[in-house]
Amino acid sequence: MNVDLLDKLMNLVSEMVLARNRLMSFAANSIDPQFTNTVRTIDFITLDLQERMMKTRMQPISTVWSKFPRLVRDAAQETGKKVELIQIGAETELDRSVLESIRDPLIHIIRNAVDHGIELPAERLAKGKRAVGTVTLSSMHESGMIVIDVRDDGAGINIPLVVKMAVQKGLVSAERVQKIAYGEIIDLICQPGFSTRETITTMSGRGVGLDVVRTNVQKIGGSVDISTSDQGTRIRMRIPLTLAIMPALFVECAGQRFAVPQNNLFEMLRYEKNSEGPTVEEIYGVAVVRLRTKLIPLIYLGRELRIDSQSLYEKDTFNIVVVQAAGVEIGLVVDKVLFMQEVVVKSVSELLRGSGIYSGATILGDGRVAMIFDIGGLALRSGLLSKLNETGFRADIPEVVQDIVQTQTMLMFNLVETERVAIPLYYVERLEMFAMSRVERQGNHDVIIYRDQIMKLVWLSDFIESPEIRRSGYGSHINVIVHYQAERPIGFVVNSIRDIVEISSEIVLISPRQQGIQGSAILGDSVVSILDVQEILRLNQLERSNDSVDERDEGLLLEDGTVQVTT
Amino acid sequence: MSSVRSYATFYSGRIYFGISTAEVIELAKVAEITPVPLAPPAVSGLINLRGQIVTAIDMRQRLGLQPAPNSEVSVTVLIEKFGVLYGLLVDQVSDILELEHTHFEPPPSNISQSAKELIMGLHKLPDNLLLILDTAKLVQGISSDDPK
Repeated sequence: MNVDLLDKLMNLVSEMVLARNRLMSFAANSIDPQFTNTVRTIDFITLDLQERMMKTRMQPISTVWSKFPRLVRDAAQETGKKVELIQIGAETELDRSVLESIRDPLIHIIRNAVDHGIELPAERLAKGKRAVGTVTLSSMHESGMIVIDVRDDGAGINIPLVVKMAVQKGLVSAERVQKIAYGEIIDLICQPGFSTRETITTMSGRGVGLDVVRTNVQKIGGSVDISTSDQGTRIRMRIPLTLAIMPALFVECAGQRFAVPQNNLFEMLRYEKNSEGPTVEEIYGVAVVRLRTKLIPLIYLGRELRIDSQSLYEKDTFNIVVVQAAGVEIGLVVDKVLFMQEVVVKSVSELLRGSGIYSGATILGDGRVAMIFDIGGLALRSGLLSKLNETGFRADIPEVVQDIVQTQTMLMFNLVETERVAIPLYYVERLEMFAMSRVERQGNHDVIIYRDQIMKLVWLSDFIESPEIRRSGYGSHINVIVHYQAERPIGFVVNSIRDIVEISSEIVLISPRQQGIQGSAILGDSVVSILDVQEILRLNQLERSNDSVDERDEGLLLEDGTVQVTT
Repeated sequence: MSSVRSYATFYSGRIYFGISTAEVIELAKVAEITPVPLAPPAVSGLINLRGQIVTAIDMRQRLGLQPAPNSEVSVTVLIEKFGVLYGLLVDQVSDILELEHTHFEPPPSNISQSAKELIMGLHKLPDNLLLILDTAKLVQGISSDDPK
């Protein structure tokens, strides 16, 4: 199918979503049941249409991979090596526009694997490896992203050589090299102009290397990780499923709204002058904030965009959105953190991309336009990155000042009348938003169809507040925290999601004990109630008797402690 | 072949301009414009036109005219150039005129160089001069003029 046509259809669908949103606000104020029912039907159809529309753009990754066996064969022949290519997960689907943009990076990585990674047959035999080397391509879905691995069982990256070449090319100074960490050495490979090849071949050694791969992947909101040993190298790309729609955090600065792509996002902090919270200091002329064991350099958005004349130090309160740009964590200082939303990304005229800080624009539910930041571009433009490099800025705070309080990462949300309730992050699989119309009644439970499974809904306000609230407290959409129990989804309905926070493990018990609440903890200068998930499950008879508590906790712990947020 | 051309005409400042009707998609009332920080000065911001993003161009600024006294423009002339929608913010739209191409004249030599680039030519009307704009140059020539 014609891509242009698909894009136009997609446009129409997203426009319809906006029109539906406006219609829903009329329906909410209407007492005519026929009208509200019709609106509900339109809502349902629109949602379905949008989901299906997204699917038409999906294609299996095999459309790109199918050319690779030949690529490997040719590359192997040219270098006199024996290599076989293994493909795992070729049926994984992703958006066609994303597919297009990963083709070249993949070709490059695979060529690299054959040319640099895999050794000559004789060398391999001498090392006790099979004469035939393998390059393994695999792809899978992981929390809303696609993970593509290219692994080879070759010699791995020659770290001493990398360091030597980097010093020779002046990418890093000789005295600095003594002190740099393993992770940074890997970073050197991704520097523009880096190559360990002394001779230029048709395949490698042109100095156009992993930096291009990394830039291309970052351009579409992905990331590249490299790990290596003498048993081989693994290059892992994490890529968003689609470019057309992505989750983003909306922030406000000097009255204007902007979107920060969620894949750049780490966490959010609130700064209050003279409070216990984070403090802002200046190091080497860069404003930084202390966050646990790290120093986060700040970019003051209002100043950077020249829309706010007030200086950072004149403000009493502001919010810091911690993002990652070019491998560095940076704090964007904004006035307000608004909400998280899936946005339809629209391209903008070259005229606006000139500044390099925007990747596109999007239209909000109220019909207003908001720009989407290109975080890497923003960091570059601010000059912060080069300043950090010059001064040899170290993000890690020396051991002495390290935080000694044990903390636990939790997701904070609001119920209808109770604010600041937190759930340990390892119970959280995903965050979703559903139209109220999708909630169905099954027996004495509310359920919703979620990823082809029946998800029971647990209205937390029923237990913590009162069951009456449910009738009035929720609007046309509900926010749901999805928790998996024995591979079945359970949805905790909350009023709104606030933030991911680090909460001291010291939980203060409150008395009299409140149903569904374990206790309280102190966060900054306010009190957070910690949800007693086990009790909530018990009250809902959702607990399986043969599961021990420990096992359950283990099983749900997220690998990297992050949580995928979609609404 | 007919030598009659039709032009959509409008005022910016007190000057009368025309664009070939073939290029005009539609006229729309100016909706809310979202300003875009660090955009070129001639770009007022973005407009949502039924789900499509339109780059709004301040014609007074672009043509080097005085800003409108009440800083209010009333109408957007929508054109598409190089796959992007642009909304030309003008003071007032006027009629569609059908004019003989034989009466088309090159721009006079006494106008400024920057304006000459944007004007393809003119029509002498009984009581007015109609300047015909080159939309491609209008859009392409916008520089970021970044003071940084």
